[in-house]
Amino acid sequence: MTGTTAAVVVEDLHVAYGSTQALDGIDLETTRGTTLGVLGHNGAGKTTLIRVLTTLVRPTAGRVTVDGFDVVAGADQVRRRIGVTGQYAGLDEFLTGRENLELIGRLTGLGQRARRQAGDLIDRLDLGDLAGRRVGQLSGGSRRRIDLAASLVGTPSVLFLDEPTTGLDPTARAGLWDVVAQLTATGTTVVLTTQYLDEADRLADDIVVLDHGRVAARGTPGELKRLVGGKVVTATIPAGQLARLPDRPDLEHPAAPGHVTVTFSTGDADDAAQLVARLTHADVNATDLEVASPSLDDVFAHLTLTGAHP
Amino acid sequence: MITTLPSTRVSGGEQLVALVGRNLRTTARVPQLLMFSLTMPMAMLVLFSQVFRSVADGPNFPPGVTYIDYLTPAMLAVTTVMAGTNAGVAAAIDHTNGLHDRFATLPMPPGLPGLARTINETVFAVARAAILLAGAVLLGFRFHGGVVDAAGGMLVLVVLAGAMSALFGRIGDRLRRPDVVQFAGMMVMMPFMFISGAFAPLDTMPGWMEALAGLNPVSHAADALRGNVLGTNRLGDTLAALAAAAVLWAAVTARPRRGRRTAVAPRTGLST
Repeated sequence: MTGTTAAVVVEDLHVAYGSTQALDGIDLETTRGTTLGVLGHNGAGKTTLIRVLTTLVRPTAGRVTVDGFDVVAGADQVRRRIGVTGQYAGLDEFLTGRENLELIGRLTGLGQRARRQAGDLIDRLDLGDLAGRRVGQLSGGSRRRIDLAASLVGTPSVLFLDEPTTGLDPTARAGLWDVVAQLTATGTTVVLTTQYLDEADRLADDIVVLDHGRVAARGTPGELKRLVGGKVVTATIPAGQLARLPDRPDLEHPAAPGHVTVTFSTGDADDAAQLVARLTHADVNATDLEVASPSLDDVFAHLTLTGAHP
Repeated sequence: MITTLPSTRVSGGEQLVALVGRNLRTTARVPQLLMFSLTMPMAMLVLFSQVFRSVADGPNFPPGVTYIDYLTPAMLAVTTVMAGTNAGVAAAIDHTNGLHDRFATLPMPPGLPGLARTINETVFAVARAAILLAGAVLLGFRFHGGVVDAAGGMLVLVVLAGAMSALFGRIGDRLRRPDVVQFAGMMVMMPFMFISGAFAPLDTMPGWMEALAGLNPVSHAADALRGNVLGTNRLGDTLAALAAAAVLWAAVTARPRRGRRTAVAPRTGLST
C-alpha cells in the first residue's frame, strides 16, 4: 500500500491530560504481519497508547502513523484499516451478537456482504451458541468474544486489542490466542496490551514494556529474558528446613501446606549446577527441584521493581 | 502475505440507514420505557387540564376558548422535550457500553450516530403526539383548523423534536452517564416547559419571564401550534417557531473545535 514494511510507527509521542503526562516520549515501530505486545502495570499508559493509535485521542506532540497514514491528518484512512477491541465491549446490549456484527458490517461498507461476514466470523470464532442471544444477557467473557468478532468485521489490516483476555476463562483465552495466531499467519498486524506475561510470551514477536508513560524496555521475549541473565533455580522444601539451606534464596513463597518454594537467581548454567549440587548435599528434603531460564515475570519484576520508580 | 483490502467506500446515507435501524430496533426492545414515554404526556395532559383549569377564568385568557383546546397544542410542544431527554440518555448509554468509542474508530462522519438518534426520537415524538391527541379528544379537545394547519403543525413538531433531541444528545455526550443525564434533563426541561406561554398566557407573567420566553423555541412552537388548533394561525408564528427550533438545532450540532479530543482522558480510572 505504501511500500514501507512498518505497520505502526510512533515517534516521540507525548500525551498529556491536563498536567498529567500519560505518555512521555514513546518511540516504537512494528513490522507488518507481526504481533507487538505492550506490557505494563495499571496506569503505565497502555490504554492511552491504544487510544492514540486508534484515532480516539490526539497526540499532544509527536508523530504516529498506522498502515502508512497519520492518525490525525489521515484519521479516516486509518479507520478504514483498523479493528479495535477495547477494554469495554463496544456492543449494543439490546441487539444480538449477530445483529451487532451485521450493524458494524454495514457501517464499514460491506453492504449485502455484512450478513455473510457476520456468519463467517460466528463460525470461525465458534460463537454459534452466543450469537443469537442479546448481548445484555451474556456473561462478561462471552461479550468479549463477540467484541473480538466485531473488531474483525471488514478484515482490518491492523488489529488493536486492549487487554483482550481480561475476564476470559482459560478455554476462551486459548481460543483467542488461536485466533490471533491465525490472523498474523494471514498477514494481519496485531498490537495487544496485556498484564499477562504468559500471553505476551506466547503471542508477541516483539514486546514493549511501558512504565510511567515511557518505554522501560523493548525486544523479543527471548531478548528480554536475557536482560535478566543467568538461570533460575527453584525448589520446594519443608518450611522448617529454611535455615538449613546452603544459600540464601532471592524469593520465598508458600507452597503446599507446611512447605515453601524458594527461588535463586544464579549466573550461568555452571553456577546453577553447583547450586543444585549444594542443595542435594544439604540436609533438606527438596522436591520439584528445577533449573530454568527466567520467565517474563522475572523480567517484569526486574524492570519495574528495580527501576528508579517507587 | 495477503494484502488486506481497505473496506469498500461507504456512503454516509447507507451508514445513517443502518444506524437509524439500530436505534428503532433497540427502542422497540425496551417495552417498559416505550410504554411510559409514550403515555406520560397523556397523563400530564389529564392532570394539567384539571389542575390549571381555573386559568381559563382569568381576564387575560382568550375568550371563547376552552382550556383543553388551549392546553393540548402546548402539551404537543412540551412532549418534544421528552423526546430530547430520551436521546440524551441513549447517547450516554453509548458512552457507558463502549459503542461510542467503537463508532469513533469506524470511517464514519462523527455526527452520524447523533443524527440517527435524533431521527429515531423524532419518529417516537410523532407517535407520542398521536397518542396525546387521541387522549385529548376524549377530554373534549376539538381541532378547529384546516389541512394546512395540520401540515404546518406537524412540521413545527418535527423540527422542534429534532432540535430537542440534538440538544439533549449533546448533553448526553458531554455528561456520559445515563443517571446524570436523566437529572440534567429534568433541569433543562423545566424552563423549556414553564418559561413559556404553554400553560397560561404570557402577559400574566413578569416582564423578564416574558422576555426569556421570547428565546424559548418551545414557547414559539406552543403559540404556532395553538394557532393551528384554534384555526387562528398566523404564518409569522409558524415561521418564528421553525426559526427558533432551527437556530437551536444548528447551535448544538455545530462541529466541536478541532483538537478537542486531545484533552479527554479515558473514562476508566483503572488503566491509562
